[in-house]
Amino acid sequence: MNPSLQVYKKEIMEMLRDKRVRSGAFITPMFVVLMMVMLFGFIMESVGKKENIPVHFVKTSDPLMTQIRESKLQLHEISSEAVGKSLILSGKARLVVVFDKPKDFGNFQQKIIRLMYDDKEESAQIAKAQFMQALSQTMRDGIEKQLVAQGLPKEAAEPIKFEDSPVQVGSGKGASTMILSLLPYMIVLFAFTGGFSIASDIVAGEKEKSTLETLLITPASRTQIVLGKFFALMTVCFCSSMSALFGLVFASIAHLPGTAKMMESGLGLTPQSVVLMLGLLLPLVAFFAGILLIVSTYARNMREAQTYLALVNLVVLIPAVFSQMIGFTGLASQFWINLVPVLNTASNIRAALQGKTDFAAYGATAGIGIVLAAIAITIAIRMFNREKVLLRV
Amino acid sequence: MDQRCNPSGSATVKPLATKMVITEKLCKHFPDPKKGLVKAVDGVSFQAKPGEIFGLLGVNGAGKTTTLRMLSTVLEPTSGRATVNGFDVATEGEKVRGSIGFMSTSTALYGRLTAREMIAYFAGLYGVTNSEMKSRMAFAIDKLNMGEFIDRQCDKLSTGQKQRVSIARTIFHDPPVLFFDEPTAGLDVVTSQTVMEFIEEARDNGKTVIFSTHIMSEVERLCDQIAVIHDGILMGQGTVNELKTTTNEQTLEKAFLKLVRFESTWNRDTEVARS
Repeated sequence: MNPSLQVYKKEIMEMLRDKRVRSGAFITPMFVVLMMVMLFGFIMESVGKKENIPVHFVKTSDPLMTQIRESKLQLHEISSEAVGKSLILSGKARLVVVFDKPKDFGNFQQKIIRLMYDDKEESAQIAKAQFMQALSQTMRDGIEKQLVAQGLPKEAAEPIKFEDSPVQVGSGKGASTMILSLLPYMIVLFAFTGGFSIASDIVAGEKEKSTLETLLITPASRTQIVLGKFFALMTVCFCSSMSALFGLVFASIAHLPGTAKMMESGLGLTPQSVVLMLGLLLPLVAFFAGILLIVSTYARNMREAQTYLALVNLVVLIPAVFSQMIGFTGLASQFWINLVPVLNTASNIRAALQGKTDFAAYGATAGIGIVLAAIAITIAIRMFNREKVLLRV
Repeated sequence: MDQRCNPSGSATVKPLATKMVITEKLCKHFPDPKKGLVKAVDGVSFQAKPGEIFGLLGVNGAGKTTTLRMLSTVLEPTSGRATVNGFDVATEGEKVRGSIGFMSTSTALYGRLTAREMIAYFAGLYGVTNSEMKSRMAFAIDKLNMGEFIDRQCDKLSTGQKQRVSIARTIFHDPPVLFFDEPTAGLDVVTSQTVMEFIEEARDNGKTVIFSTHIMSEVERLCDQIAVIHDGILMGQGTVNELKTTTNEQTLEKAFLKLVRFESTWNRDTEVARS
């Protein structure tokens, strides 16, 4: 049997017996994804529950308030503005509506409605938006009644009407915005962090435990040894990334609490998008495995390796985090994004899940991934062949 | 004769004879930012033949381990030449490594593999085929009395059991040359005895054994030939009796101290007068 394959099989066997690898590379990605999906889903559902935030108003005889009472808002009458303020300060009220004295313009009086709320409280902002919407609807209903009374159609209250007309770009069915933000980020992030659990052990750990020298005196060449270790690391990184994906698929199938809103458009996983995703993920995983191997080979011991890995993690984390927000910027359509490692993969996985793959961008991303992976593994092999690096303890 | 390397590192090398282990003016120098150039091994020459235990005797840091590391191709010699089983350590590394077994107390086992998996892993790397594996495994288990723990993870083995697994790993592929780097360091008397008996048996089976130690009693019991190394330099070579005769000393310990030019800083008369 090829020595690289023997080293690979042994590394995989050891990894599977290591609790740190089982939890860090397989269980944690799934668990984190499930938690995040449920958490974001809960937040999305909470935001959607408009009628549940109560609105307080200071007692008034204004007829507009009588009309607003007919809306679905939960309204609570209070005696004075001072009471309203104390309720906001104690956190018992989100929005207090005060009808002030109207402003007199001679032949016209302008109603003044003052809205009191904590502007740092998200739920207060939501309550304000709900109230404004209810008020707007009430005013529109009033106008419609007047128009109808004058013999005009009620549609005259809306001189301009906007109609949504979505245009299908790409293959069509795609994931929801939240899934598009979350999934590429998770897949890329866990492709790197999944290897953490074993990276410090794979060479630095062998130096520290004095098993490396025994391996070096076998007929296997150093290149064969390092390739075996490289493919083992790559396998763990890939499996970790896939664990994150399985977590999301499980959340979708199991209909976990709070995930309905998030999953209503599906995950965007079609046979084509999966193939495209794997085509980008494999070079990235190889690149990550190469980097982890370089760090582990250079480090004197496991502790030193872990210190370096924490620093490298930051370098990977920044583009990965940015990939989550890229949909909110106009950068996703700019070609230079495809030249930035990590970010390009996340961006193109996002496009694949949307069914909007740009094959020039895809090719550039895959090409850069392959080149970087080749550079990383070449450096790792060279370092592994240098006795100065390998035997520094 | 001064066997040390010339400053340029280009030692004059003669054609090597057909012995199992031959070193000629072998040198290993390391650049050190604080100490400058460290001459860990400086012009060491010796030869070892089959059926012989060749001892490398020296204090800690003398250069014994570095010499063995060069012979096992872990380190590349700075200059000089060495062959193992007729193969050059600098140019035929794979063949050299295929000809040797290496054991040391500092080399550990993979904790999460069982003893059987550990032995089989290295056997595979040494090219032992699956058909040979079964019979050799049975022989090793029986020979080293490993039946009780062969399927137990190495992390859970006692020191003595680990040492037996190491021995099995070292001999499993039946190499003609065996290197032992302080194989009894840190072991109890019983386990040390097992190791030494194993080394004697290897010699009796015609293996060439290179045995590095600083323990005089082990040298006197085991070694047919000895090379005394100090500060990377070969200070003397011969049988135990030859070293005693050369130095005109009664014990190997005294002969060794004379060869390494040890001077005691403790003056007995002065200390007695003070007390």
